[in-house]
Amino acid sequence: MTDIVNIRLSKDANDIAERLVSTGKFENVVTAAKFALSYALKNHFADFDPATYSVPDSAGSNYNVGSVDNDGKLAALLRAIYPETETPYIYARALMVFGLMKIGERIALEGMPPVSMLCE
Amino acid sequence: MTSRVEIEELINVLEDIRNTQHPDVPAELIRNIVYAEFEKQDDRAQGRKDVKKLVDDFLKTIAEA
Amino acid sequence: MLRFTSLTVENFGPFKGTQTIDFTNENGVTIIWGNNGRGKTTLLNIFRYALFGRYKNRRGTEVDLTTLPNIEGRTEGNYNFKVVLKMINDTTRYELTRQCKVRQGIAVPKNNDDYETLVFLKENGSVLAPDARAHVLKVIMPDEVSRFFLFDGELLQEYEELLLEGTEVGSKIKDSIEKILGVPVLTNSAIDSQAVLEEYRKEKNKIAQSNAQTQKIATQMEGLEAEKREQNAELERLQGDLAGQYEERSRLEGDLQQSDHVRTLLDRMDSLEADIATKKGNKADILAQIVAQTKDAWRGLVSYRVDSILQTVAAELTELENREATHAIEKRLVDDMKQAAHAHHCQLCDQDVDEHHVQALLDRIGAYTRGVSGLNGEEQAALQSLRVRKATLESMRASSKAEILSLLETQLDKLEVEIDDSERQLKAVREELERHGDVEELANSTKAAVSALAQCLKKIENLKEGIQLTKNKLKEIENALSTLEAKLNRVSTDVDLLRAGKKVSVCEQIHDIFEKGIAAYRDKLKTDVERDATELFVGISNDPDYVRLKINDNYGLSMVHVSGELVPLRSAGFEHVVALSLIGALHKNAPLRGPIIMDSPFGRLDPDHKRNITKSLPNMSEQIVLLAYTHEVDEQQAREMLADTLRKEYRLIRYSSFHTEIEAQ
Repeated sequence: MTDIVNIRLSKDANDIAERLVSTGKFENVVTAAKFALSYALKNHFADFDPATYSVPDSAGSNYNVGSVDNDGKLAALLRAIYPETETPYIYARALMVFGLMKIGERIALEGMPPVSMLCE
Repeated sequence: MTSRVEIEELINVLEDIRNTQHPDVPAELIRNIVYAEFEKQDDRAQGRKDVKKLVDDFLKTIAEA
Repeated sequence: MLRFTSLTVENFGPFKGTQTIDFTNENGVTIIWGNNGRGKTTLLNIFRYALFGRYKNRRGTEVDLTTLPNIEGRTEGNYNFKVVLKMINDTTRYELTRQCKVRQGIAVPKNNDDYETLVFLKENGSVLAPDARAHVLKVIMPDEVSRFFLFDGELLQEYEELLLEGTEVGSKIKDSIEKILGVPVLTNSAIDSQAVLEEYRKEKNKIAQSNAQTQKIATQMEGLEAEKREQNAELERLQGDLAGQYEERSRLEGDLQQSDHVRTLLDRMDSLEADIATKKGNKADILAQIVAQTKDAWRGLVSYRVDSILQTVAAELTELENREATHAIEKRLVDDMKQAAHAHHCQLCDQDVDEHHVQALLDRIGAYTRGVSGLNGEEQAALQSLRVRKATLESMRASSKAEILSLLETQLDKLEVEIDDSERQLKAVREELERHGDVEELANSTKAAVSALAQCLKKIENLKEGIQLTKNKLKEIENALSTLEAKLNRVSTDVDLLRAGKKVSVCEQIHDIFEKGIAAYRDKLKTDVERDATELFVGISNDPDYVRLKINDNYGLSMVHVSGELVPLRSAGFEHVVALSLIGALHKNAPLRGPIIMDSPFGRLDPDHKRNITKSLPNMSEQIVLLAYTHEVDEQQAREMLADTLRKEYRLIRYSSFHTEIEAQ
């Protein structure tokens, strides 16, 4: 299976990323999405399988992997974490969307939390 | 308010100076100048003319002497 | 001495119809009682209107004539109003009538132009011509000194300005005081005798110029006189400009004072805007720092997972590497044994190996080869993979940004609250400013006014400097002229010249008498005013430790404590007492003598002071008219204290809101 070269978020995930950006604390959607990816890895590693996650839609914005991972470190990291994968960017996409949705659930519950709290 | 009584205080002050420093100047002249100025406070030009006449008339008497 | 004998008002202010107050021809006090709104202050203003033709409101602005007729009279179609003031000055009887009549053809007057004003002054029954009328009124009651005859108790506070240097109000009051005391008579005499002296000097100089002996000196003197005339003209111009600038300063300060509240609001607005801008700048900085942190925050965030996976990877890797290491050691041993068996010689111990031991070695080699195997291909691949994973995971370790982000976000939250607070305050200030007008226009006009005042103050400083320089120059010229004059007198033998010189000498003496008289009279006045004001003051004051008053160059009076110290700050009540003492002392010492009409002079005085002032009234002037509200001072007590100096009492009775009747008691 070949990996994707464009990461397209779902509409809802994109909206959540844009909300994060609108706080002024994130430079752009990509930064927010990467943050969400790490959030998913930190908090949901055991219960989330990026290999089988089905991204609901691709109606969100489209990002070339070169702009998301210009130094390749993200792909290397995902290969290191998921040694079985040959499609780290498919995993990345799944983690980003999932992570953003989880952050979205938190926003719906308690309002926009401080970024520092999301890091804890 | 034009009573002559009320400006005597002012004239007395002048009289002291006249008497001690300029006794050759007649007291009456000084008095008349003061009254002329008092009467013409609202018409300065006329006041000056009146004073000039008083001094001129006095100086004529010196010249004739 | 001037005395009012009656005042008749017709359809004026609250006084409907024709009403008369009769004052007696005897020395003493007339009291007119009336509550607030019944017309006491109007009566005071009616006296002013009769004498000076002006009617001003409480703020000092002239009012429209259309507001002066009685309101009930107006509804009945009567828009005219009149006042007749009868007076005696020594033995001369005066009747002053001032009335406003609606012009023919106008049914209802809408502005001042719809009225014609008629003024008549009868002297001993004969109507005076307008010029004569103006002259008499200026002599018997000059406008500049009216404040000492017709005054509102509420304005007594401004006499405090006499204690301060260089204030506009203080300067005006001082001029009025000197006017009432007759100082201008002396200053005018000095100025006019100086003018006469100049003429005689010119005449003398002309004679000296026509004489060969004295021509040169006379010509020099003529030159200096011309220069002196120039400098005097310049001095007059500068002094005129300075007076103009003082007026301008007063006007600007008045405007700024009126707009004081607006300026405060504008300053507040500027301050808030600056504060908000700074804080928004700080907010932007903090957000920029947060954005810089969140850019890499994903790495710190993933570190927890990285560490956990790293542990597993490290363990697996260690196991494989150990196996590989063990296999390497054993392979080395097998190789050595193989070599010893083949060569029948052990290189390790450097011993020959016999056949029996060779066989033993071969058996052992067989056993090792069978028992130990290294990493297979898959395991090798796994080992490599694990190494790569470990290296990658280790390189991805990063510290959490949680702490620094928390710090920055706390600062941000605080700033946002402060910005919101400031913006709310700014909104309130702007709304209040908008009630006064367009904000930008207000800001511009206030800035312009402040700038105009600064410029005016600078001009005043420059003018003062210019005046001093000009005065210095004049002094130099005078000295030079005196020297030449003395020389002229020494060398001249011409009879005409000597005669002219004598005339000049007499004029100089006359001028000198008046010139010195000014300072001497001022000193005397100050001594007398201080003495008489002290006498009145100690009679009124209820504090025995305040033993006297001390006068300054502006006729300001300070209270002196028994210790000799000047009392530095005095209450509003004592301010009134001192002001009344000054006014009484001025009346005693003034060439101008007349009645005092005072409206509510008791102000914030306690009952003791009110009693003492009432008792002192007859000492302040021969004729006193007191306008007081009921219970401002105890009526019965006032009657008892004034006893037979109380001549008449009137009461202003309310018939309706717009109709007051003056009733004799």
